[in-house]
Amino acid sequence: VTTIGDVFALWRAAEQPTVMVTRLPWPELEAVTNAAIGLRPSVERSTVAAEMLRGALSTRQLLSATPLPPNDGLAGISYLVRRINEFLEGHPGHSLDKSLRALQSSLVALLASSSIVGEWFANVLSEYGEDENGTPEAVVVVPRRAWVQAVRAWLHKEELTCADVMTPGDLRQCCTARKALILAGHPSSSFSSGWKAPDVAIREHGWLFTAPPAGTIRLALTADAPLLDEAALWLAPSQDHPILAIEDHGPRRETPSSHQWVTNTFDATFVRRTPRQHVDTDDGVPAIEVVTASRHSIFFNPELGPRRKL
Amino acid sequence: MVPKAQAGRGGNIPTGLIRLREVSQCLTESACNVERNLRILVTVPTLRLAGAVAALGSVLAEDACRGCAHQYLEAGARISAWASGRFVDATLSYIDDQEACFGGLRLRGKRDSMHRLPSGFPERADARFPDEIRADVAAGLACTLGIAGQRHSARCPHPVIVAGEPKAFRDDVEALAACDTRLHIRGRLDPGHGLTDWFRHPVLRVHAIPELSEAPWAAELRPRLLIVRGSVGWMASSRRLWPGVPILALISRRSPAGCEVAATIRAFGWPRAIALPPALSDLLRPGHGLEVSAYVEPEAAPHDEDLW
Repeated sequence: VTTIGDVFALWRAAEQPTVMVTRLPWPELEAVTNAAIGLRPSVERSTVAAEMLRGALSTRQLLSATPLPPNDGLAGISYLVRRINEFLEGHPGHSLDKSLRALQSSLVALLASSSIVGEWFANVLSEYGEDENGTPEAVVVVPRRAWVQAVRAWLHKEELTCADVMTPGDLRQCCTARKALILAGHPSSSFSSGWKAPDVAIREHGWLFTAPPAGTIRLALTADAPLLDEAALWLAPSQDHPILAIEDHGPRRETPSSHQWVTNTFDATFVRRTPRQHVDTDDGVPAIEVVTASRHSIFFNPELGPRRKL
Repeated sequence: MVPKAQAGRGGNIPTGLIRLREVSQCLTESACNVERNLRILVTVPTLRLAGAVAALGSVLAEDACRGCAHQYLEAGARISAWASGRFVDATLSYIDDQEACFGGLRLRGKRDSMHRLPSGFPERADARFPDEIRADVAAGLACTLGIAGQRHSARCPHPVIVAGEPKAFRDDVEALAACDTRLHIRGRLDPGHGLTDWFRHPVLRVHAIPELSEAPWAAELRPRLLIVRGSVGWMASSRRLWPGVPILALISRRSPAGCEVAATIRAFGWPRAIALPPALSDLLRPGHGLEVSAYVEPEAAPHDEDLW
């Protein structure tokens, strides 16, 4: 039951929320990201390159947004390593050999590391307890519903039981303000997907910072993540929105790699395909021709169709 | 007199809600001094209480009639009035300086509780004044219980129209009323449902503002303020029925649909409202958890469909 006090608390929380950003260096994760970006030019012509790039970035998405360790099944690192192994064994001397091996070794290193984000979660959550009604003071925000159970299990295992775990969708319905909202990962990548571009994702989830159900937002970003752009969190033009107090004690420079992974990799418009009419090729096999952005022609079986869009 | 921003339960009213009430009140008072098709877009952290507080601000504003059609009373005209403890619609059979006769009733004294109905206004049944809000109305208007109905009717010619999620708005009014009885919220707001409740309630809740073709009689009337509550209300509402009345759009930042509405309005490229009264300009500054934008929507072509 929502009381008037709860609603007032929500309004008060939005008046001047404090956003505390912590930068976390995770060299193994950065190395995986850089190795995966090395595959970017090849995704147009190689299914395995596309699959590995997508897989590595999904792994990054999970590990940077949740406290789950790299060896968790949801991260899929073991699968990616095995898949690269199988491909390299089946295609000796492939042109992607070097890039895939670089990715494989970085994935193995990541698998052996521990989660910096998990350590941060443990430290931060230990600062919060329960209020007088027995309600946890902190809420851990998990970007995807499929990850909630695993995060709950991790918190239980670490004996960090004084926190609720919710998705943004759950929080939207939540009408009680807590003391702190705890989340990790850059919102433009954590909440983006193949169906939601980063700029849309950050705009739709900017309310976690501009209309939060808590007075304090604790955010962990990996060291290579781009700056948290305050203007992108609001809906109105810059002259029409209040100033948000963002305390970012980490490095504030924008590295080329971070810019690249957040803008180009998820941008659906980056890969432009121009479908042409059904053509008959010289060998008599009917095919659909697709011209890529690099002006290469690729022919697809008209019944099986092109591979899934990235 | 504007009630102090206090609350008995839940502590003091948040500054964002107070600012919203002030914006709404000032916007209502400035309605005749602003450009046509003025749209004030305010994004709020939650829609809870936002519509009710904005409606309260508008109801509290001074809004004098300016040669309104409802004031022209003459024999043969259909009127809405308060008589014998009921709201009645009847045909005015006789009127002079002293008295007015309608529906077998004779009324002497003040006539501000009588309003001429526009032609084509739907037929409606007589209605009693709910006993449960009579005391609240009397307290809010600082009058006795005996004349509360008449005073209530006198302040209803220009209601606030709140479009979008009528039930949620009613819940907010109840929540606000329970918060502090000193504000007399139930009596001050007393929301009716639909435009056909005009002249009987100071606030009218509608799902959406209709098109002119759906309620042509409504063009003769003038609400004091249009409040659009939420993205659904915005998307479903017509903005052409009362071009002279500003629209205060309240959009929740929590809602993905609200984000789309805000993005769409930005994409429209409407010119920003510049010629605003200084008092209103001061209030239309972002802060306290509110994003505030003021636009002037370009006048729609009367027959733009003909172009197609």
